[in-house]
Amino acid sequence: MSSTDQVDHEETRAPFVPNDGWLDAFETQLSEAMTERVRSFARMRAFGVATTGRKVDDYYARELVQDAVADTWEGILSWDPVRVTLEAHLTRAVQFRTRNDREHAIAFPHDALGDETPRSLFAETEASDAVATGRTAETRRYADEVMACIRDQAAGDKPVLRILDAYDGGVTNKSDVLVFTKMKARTYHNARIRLGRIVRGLANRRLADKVRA
Amino acid sequence: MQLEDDKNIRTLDAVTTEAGMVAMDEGTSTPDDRRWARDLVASYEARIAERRRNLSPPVVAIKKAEPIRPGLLAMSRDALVAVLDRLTNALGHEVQFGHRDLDSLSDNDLRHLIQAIDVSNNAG
Repeated sequence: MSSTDQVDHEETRAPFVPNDGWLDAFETQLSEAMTERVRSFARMRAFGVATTGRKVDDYYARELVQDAVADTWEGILSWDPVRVTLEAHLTRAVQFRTRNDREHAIAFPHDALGDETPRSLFAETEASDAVATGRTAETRRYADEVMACIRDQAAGDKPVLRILDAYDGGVTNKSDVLVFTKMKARTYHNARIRLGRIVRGLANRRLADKVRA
Repeated sequence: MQLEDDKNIRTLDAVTTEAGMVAMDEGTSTPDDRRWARDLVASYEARIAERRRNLSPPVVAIKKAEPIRPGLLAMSRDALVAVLDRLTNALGHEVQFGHRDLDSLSDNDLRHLIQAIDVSNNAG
């Protein structure tokens, strides 16, 4: 069981009672600087969700962090401070949730309201089925456009383009990327930073001045 | 074409993860972001304190000493030591107390000790 595995929501679930060690670690590690860092991560992941056509903004990025912290506090997300830092745990939780949100946005493109009454879920499913085919194609088109835009901005930056080629080939782990691209660690490090800045520029434009979804 | 587009969705997932890691290291927060982070952390301080209190063992009420019986109050120190000797001899191994040197005990300490040992109330 990984440190961020989600525990089933059951009404009979015993209340989460952390011990002193857990509380000490949580209190020490839940700093302003750490939450800020995780929010920065969440913002880039929010941009990925935005590329499905879902309206997301900076508040969404904050909510991702707040929800991850709250679920950890309540024991819904299991965190073992001996095995992983709180920052790594929250980052991973945000990564999974944005991936789920993106997949949900693709599967239920008509999910505009976010309420979950049986009637609204039924209506949502009906409407989603009706538009799913077109919307999935639209989602692919968004991703296509964003990737084309990133490649355009990286034009001439061979190390960045080689990293993107590695990702295209399903190679994402750093050591594997280094082998795939035949790149020195320093070159990879600098190219990764340049790629991050390109994406951040796009995210800034996409997420800025959005009306809250 | 669909395979190509799905590849872009996967690549975008990897790109946004890496961009997120870079953003964490470079720090790009606004004053409003910092205020939000401060408020978030502060909102957990009270909750942590409350959970700590819940973990602490419940406060055990301190039992107030019984009032010394009038008969013991009236006794001098020599009489109290004599009573204590009589009680310990009578009870033998049934009675144990942690004071070898009775000189370190005040008269009232002796009275409380006798009262605690002498549950039958014979000593005053």
